[in-house]
Amino acid sequence: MPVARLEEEERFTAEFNAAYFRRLLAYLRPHRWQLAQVFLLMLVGALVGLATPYLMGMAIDVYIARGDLPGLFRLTVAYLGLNVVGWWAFALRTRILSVTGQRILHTLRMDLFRHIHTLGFDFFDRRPVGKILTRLTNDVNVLNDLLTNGLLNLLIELFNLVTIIVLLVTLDVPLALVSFSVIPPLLQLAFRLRPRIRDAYRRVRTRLSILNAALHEGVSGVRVTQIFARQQENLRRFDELNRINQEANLSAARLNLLFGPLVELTGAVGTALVLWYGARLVARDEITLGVLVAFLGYLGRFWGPISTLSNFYNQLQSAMASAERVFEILDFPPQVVSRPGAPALLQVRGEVEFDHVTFGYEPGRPVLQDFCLHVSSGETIALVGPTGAGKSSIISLLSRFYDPWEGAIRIDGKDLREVDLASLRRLVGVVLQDNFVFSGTVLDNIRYGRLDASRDEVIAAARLANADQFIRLLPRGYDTVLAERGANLSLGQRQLLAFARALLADPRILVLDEATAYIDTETERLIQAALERLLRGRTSFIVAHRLATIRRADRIVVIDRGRIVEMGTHEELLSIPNGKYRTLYETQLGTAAFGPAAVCAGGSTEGRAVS
Amino acid sequence: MYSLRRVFRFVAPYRGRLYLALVLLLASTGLGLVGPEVQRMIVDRAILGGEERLLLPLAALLVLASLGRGIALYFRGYLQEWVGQRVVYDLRHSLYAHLQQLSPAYYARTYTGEIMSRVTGDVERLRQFVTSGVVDLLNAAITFTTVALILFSINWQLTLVALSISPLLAYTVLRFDRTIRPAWRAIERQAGVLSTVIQESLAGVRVVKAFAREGFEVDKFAKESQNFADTQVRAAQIWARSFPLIDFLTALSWVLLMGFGGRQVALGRMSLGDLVAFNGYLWSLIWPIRNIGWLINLFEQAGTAAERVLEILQTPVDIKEPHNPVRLKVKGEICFEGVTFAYEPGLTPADTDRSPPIPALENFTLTIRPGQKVAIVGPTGCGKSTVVHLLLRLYDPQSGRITIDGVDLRELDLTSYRRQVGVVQQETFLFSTSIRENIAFGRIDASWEEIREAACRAQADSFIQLLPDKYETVVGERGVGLSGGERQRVAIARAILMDPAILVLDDPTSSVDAETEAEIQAALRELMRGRTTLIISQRVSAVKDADWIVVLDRGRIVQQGRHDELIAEPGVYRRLFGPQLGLSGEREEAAACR
Repeated sequence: MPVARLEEEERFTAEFNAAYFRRLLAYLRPHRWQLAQVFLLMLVGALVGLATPYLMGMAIDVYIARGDLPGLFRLTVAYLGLNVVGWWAFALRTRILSVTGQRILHTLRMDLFRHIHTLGFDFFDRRPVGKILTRLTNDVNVLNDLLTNGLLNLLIELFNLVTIIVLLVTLDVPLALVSFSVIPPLLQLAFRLRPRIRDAYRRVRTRLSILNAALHEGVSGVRVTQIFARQQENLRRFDELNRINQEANLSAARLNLLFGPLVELTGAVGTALVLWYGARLVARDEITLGVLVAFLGYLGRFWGPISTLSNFYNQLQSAMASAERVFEILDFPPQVVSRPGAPALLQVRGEVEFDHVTFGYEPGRPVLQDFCLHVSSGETIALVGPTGAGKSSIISLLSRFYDPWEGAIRIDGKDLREVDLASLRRLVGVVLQDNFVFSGTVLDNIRYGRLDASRDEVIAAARLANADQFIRLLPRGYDTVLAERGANLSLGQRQLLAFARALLADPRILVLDEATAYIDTETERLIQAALERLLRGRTSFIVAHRLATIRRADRIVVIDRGRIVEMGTHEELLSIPNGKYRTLYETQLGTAAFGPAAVCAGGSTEGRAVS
Repeated sequence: MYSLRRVFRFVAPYRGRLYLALVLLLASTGLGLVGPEVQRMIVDRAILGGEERLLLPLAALLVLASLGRGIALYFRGYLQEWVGQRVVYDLRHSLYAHLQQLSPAYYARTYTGEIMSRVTGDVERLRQFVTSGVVDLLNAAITFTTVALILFSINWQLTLVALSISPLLAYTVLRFDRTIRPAWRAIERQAGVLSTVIQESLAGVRVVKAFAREGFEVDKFAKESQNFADTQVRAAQIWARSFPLIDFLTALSWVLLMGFGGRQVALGRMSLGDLVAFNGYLWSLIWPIRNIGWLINLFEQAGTAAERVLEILQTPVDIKEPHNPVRLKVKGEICFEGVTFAYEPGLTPADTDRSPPIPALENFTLTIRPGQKVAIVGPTGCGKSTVVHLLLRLYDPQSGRITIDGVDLRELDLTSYRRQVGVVQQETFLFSTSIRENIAFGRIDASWEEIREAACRAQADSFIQLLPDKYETVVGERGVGLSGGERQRVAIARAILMDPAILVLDDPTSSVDAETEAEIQAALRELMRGRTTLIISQRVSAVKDADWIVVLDRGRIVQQGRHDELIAEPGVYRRLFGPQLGLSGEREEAAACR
């Protein structure tokens, strides 16, 4: 449902864009021979279909009217043979087309996915996962459908249309003109009525997704509803949406139901005209009865090509909208790339320097300003400060998720922009606040830190991280499959798992964004003990929320609005009267919980100022 | 099929319209038979018989029949759609109403996704069935039978020949339907796998980048993408095996008609007009068979869908309103008298593994006087939240009773009682509507001034003023995302607006950081003023000012008293909160002596 919801916000159609179309056609080039084969097979099928009315007319005129039974038999056998060929062509082209189409799809998906993973956070920060997902699935499918089915069908149906027109004109010009009278109303139906029906059903889908979202909310918010005794009011509102949805459906149905009968009626009028006029021609011996029967047979075949033409037009419009979204991603420049030939960073001591760094996410609004910090090898730095102060930016810069606007960050004196990116990231281990768990076994999740680690190495890392105990209590131990996003683990357990992952990777420099939520005392104790082992012998940066962690740091750096305001050990900082650190510390202890100082120190979450 | 019959209960009120649709169906089928018959008469009598004056009326008849048929089809379709829409409207209404009454026990054992798939997917399948299933089946059967009878009356030998293909056609159609369905299910499954891989890889992109695992992710995706392509190709193979064959068999009917029918005409056993009419009727003999698979599918799916939908509707409501509910203006005295409660096996919110029903709360007795502030603390899983659940009557205790101002909770009018209890939960659920309506959630009739006043007192007004549309800003899943602290302040405003006699604070600061907590605490103090308050918390700052603190462990009260007393004695309380106060190890002793 979320996917459907996101889809509505996107555009459905776009103008034709020749440049995009050419880029799309490039995906067909490697498969041109297969596609040519499919086209030929489709042509065979079309010819078999077109032959039917003609043969029927011939049977009547040449054999039945003259009583030529052997001739009729020969014709029947020939017709049978023709249909066997049609059967074979249909089956074969379905196979080839499906294999080819899927190959093209796979290529398109891979190109997108591979490119997405070269992109920086400036790309991900502004796009919800659901939207990117839609592009990789729906949009890619829409494009593939146009490239394979859409284009080929268009060509075949155009062929059909031209052949029928030529054939009818050859058979009898006046009668052909009479039968062409069905074409204008059919065009009207295909190009006028059908788009309106499609729009009506788009409205239906929008209404339905709103209704379903309300249902989903009703279910997930049921506890609140019950506590606040809001059932009646909620039901009233839901019924309103329910009714709107029903209205949308009925008004779409009112249009849609016109379609079938009108196509049929057009056919009936055409048949009546052809019969009425044709019968006179037969009576005057200007045409034979067989020709009239053939005409009747072809009359029904105008609809197919016209319908396909209008479909293709629509398909092209929506494919262009999809192409826009897909190419928007493919043309998005990667934010941070290794300089070609940059040397790998291998053995390092772990000395880190922020040298006059200025950095921000939006131009003109720096988050860090002229930030300087020198960290010796093996030192543990706690970063403390209110939300939005710039703590996360510091650790993002260290992994080179972004490049600074000004100044430089160096490890062992080497500028990060001058070294190989992958080698840097292997060197800098990151444990995030939201410890992402992939669906898969516990073993696989820890092994994410080092893919070639043996089972024993994984278990050893888990032991060091104090994760072993809870893992052994899981239903299948290390082979327990974790639910999506680790829903079956507690916050503390996910944290321990992330520690194990980082320990296995054994980085020289460690970056840790501590979780803010309170965890029960027992798990807290396990985390602190594991943390100690994790920090041992590494240069570490911790965005610290827990007192125990902060106290243990070699140096505490208090940051506010992108600048260092206080720096020193726990004791040193506490001794500053009315110091920033001291205020924060007391807030957390609860000794100053309701005091005005605490409120000021907090600032607002998400960086919005609160007066 | 039994369930399907139950669903007819929903259709029953609209029976009249379905009968009318049926009449229109018969009319349209009848008119549809006119065409080939007219063609026959034109060929035999107007052309071969030379009665040229018949031509114009016959052609007109053809058009009129089609027009009449079109009109019948239109109204038949509309009636069916109307009934279908009405039925799903009623179904959705009943489902929504019922789901809102079901207890937390039901939601604990049922996944939201599962419920959603029933109230959306299954309801949609039932709509399809009601709208088209039954009538289309009748249509197919009636058309096939009538046309077969007409053809028999024209020429029975030729009819038999034409029908000889039918069994083979039916067999192929059914086999196709049987083999393609698992293939489609496989596609659906693999599509799910693929989208999980994409979602995880994108949602976890920070971890991916942190460990430089882009290559690993691309390989994983390549494998699943290839698998997906393979499943699609497999389905296409099945399709390629059957569908062209079905087309061929259809064409074969015409081959037989031409060969055998042409022979009959040539031999003078049948008129040419009859052959032309046969040609016109033949499709009506084929499409019903081609549709069998689809119809069977529709019936089967509707049967399962009905079962799954009814399962929800038939789930009994655990917490029932009393027969003679007492409406009480609550003063705020709460008594738990020897309350024992155990969750159903496997329903414990904390751990779902343990099967024997261990009581979450055992012989729990506690009296809270009006206006008193009582805190309940204890390690995870000690039964704190259960106390809240019972007080809100989300569950009923197995033994003992809870009284409010001396009246048993089970005697009280549930709606009026719950409206007098304010709750701020760990995580605040916001509905996708304006922030104003979210605040007025518990009191729909609140005036704009009251809402604004509540927001100010909850210290929410300042951040609301900064939102794009202020109080009209849509929040929740489909709107602007609020931070944890902001959500909690909305919840506090919500509670202030309700002006409840009893207030429950269920660990409202557990998911925010220390700085935000300080702000929220100030708003909470405003809220607590003059109300009976029950506080559940993991944080010492939230409980230490309470009038009375109850320490729970494994469902039993192990300590109670005031903060100063409890922190001074060794026990669960000090073990829990000592570390938060910076007391640990040897320093714990020092604190105890102080």
